[in-house]
Amino acid sequence: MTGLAAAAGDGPSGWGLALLGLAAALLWAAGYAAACAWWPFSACGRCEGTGKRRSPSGKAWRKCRRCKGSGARLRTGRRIFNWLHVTREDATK
Amino acid sequence: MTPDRPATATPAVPDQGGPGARVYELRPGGRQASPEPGPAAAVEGEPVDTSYEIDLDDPADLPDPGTRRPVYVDAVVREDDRRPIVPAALRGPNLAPTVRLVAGRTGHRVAFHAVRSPLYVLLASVWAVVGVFRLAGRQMRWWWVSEQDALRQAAATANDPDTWHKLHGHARQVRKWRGLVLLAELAGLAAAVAVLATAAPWWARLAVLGLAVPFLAHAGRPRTRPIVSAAVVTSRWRKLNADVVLRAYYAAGLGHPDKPAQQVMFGGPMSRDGEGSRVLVDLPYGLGLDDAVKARPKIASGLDVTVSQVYITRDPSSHRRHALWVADRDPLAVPAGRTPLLALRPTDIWEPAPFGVDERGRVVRVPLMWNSVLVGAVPRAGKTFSARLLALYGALDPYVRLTVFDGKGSPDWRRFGLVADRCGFGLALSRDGDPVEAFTDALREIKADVQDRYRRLSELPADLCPEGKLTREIARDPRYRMPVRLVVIDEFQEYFELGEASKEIAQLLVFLVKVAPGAGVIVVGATQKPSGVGSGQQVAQQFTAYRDNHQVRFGLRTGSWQVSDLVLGSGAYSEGYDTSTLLPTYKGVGILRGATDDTPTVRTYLADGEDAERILRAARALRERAGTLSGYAAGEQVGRDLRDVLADVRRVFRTDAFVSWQQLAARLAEQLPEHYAGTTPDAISAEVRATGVRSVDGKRDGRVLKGAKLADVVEAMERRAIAGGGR
Repeated sequence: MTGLAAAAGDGPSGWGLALLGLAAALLWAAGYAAACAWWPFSACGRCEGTGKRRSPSGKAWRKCRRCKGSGARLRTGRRIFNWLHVTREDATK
Repeated sequence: MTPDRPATATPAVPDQGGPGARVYELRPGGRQASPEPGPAAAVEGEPVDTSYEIDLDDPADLPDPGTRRPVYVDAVVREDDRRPIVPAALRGPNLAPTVRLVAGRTGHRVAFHAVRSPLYVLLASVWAVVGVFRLAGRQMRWWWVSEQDALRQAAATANDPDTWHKLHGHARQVRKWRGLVLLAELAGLAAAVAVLATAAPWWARLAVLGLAVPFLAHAGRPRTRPIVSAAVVTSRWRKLNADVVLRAYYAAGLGHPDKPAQQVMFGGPMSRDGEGSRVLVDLPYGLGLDDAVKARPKIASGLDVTVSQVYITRDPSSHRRHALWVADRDPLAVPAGRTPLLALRPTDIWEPAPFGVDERGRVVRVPLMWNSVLVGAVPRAGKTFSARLLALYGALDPYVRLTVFDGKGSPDWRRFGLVADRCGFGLALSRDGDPVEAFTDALREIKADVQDRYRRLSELPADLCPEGKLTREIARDPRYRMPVRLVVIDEFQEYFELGEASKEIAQLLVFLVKVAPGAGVIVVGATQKPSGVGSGQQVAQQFTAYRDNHQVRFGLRTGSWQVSDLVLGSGAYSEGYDTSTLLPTYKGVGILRGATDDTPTVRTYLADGEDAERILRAARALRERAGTLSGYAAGEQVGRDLRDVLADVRRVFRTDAFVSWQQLAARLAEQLPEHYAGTTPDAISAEVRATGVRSVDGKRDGRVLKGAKLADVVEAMERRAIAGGGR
């Protein structure tokens, strides 16, 4: 059974590659989770984070409908976390 | 802080001493030397927790009692609670036996389990499989919140749909969350298994297996069947606290717990005392110390200890109060060790002699000066060894004159010939003469000496000899010729059963024990028959008088309490001291009464024949250096070669041409008493004739007597000088 170390001239085996890929994915997930914890909101796609849009005539400022004027959008990872949190709270209250 | 106390309470001790002095409150409930003191009473009159709990079966081990070297123990210091930096078990000569003990124990454990390890592996694998299913089942139950089923069914039975729906909704939420948790756990397990199965090295798999299998086996095995059995049998766990003591007393019939007038109370808090616990017990009115003493075996049974661990001693304040001391372990089974006299240093008879250790481990000393000691026991109990211990102490003081007489004639005392002034062994005639005669002579000589001493002491000036009593300086000064004398008589009852000779001996012995100690003569006697001795009524009375006039009594095991009372002095039994309760396996254990204020049960030091010989040789060397060898011991050296009878006779002849044998014997006894004291004319005649001098008739004062001529004696000496090369 070949281990993780690659023999000279031979690429890593299929299992080794999968393992490497798994490790990389986990590392990315950890980084993303940390980002979600620190910066849970990112810019709303519609209004580019400003929270405003101009009326069709161009005279009035209106609130962006998607983010309701806040300019923020909750990150997906944070959404997942919030859902888990709520589930746990409901279960253990 | 403290409430007002009535005048009857003990006032606090005023602050004395410099920094570092500690004030101890003497009120009950204050800080006491107990392991777990109870809370102090906030209000006067409230019951105070005066007890503590002590575990009797401490797993700490004693050091190996078979070693013959002194073992250091932590001294119990009451004022200072500092524990030693290096524990006693690891200090100095204790380290080696401790290491050996620990290594032995560990080795045993390792071997025990190593032999059983294949069985352990088999059992563990079986139970690990069971454990997997058990854990899985537990987790399923956890996920499905199965404990809520009962509540839901109860709601349905009660026709309560709201509660049911509420419960059900909650259960669903909980299941959702728990299901997620279990999914994560499954994912993790799957990943781990995947990694292990594919890419991990073989030792990692083995390590994980090694961790997982015991864990699963522990989860899977039945409660009552552990896989790894214990290598040591653990003993029962016994405790001692106030409840246990009360239980013991009530079980012994000394009171009734429910009737208020018949309750057993405590006179003081329970405290640690040496290697045991001590408490003052107040019996109900009407019961006293003698009831407690009689019930001692029952009390021991109630306390769940052996009888020899329970000590009941009199409290002087009241008859219904006594002190109960319970030893942690049987104190008398542990031997005391070898005598400190083996250091072979000179001793001082004016200091108390180290005799042994008491049940609390403290050294017991017997003050010998001005005292008479009686040792009594059945045969083979250790009387001779104990009496010999005291005699060895006296032997090591070069200024003590020893007189040793053994009524038995056993080899135990023979080596005292190295240091004794006078000694005699047995009752039969021997090469050294008649021991009974020698004994009588010795007693007469002592009597004369004592009377002479009293006269001379009264004539000494008061600053030298205050109150007319022998002092250490006078005793050690050879000019006064009043050294301290130690008279040792083993099996003295033999000397009372000799018929005619006993009459004088009995009289002299009674004088010895009554009058002599005041003049600096110490009497030590040992007997196995303290009563029923004496060939005539007078002698029997004198024996009783002799026996009863000893001050210090040491009783080893005796046959009955009556004999114990005779040995220890009347009244000992009613005070709780009975040597017939000592077990035969206790070697050298006895009760010492009269030496000090309390009556300890002493484990005497050991000094066997070899040790005694070593000590006596050293004692002889000390005496030679001090110049105090006398009597038999001094004669011993010269006695190796025969006494030069001819030269003595020649000296005693002076200028007379003819001396009869009677005159010769008289002159020799007068001028050379150390060697010719008891010589009869026939004896000296035989000796002189053996050297070749004829016995001739000669005229003396008009009578014809047999004797020797000076010319013959001189001729015999010349002949000897020519033949033997001169002497």
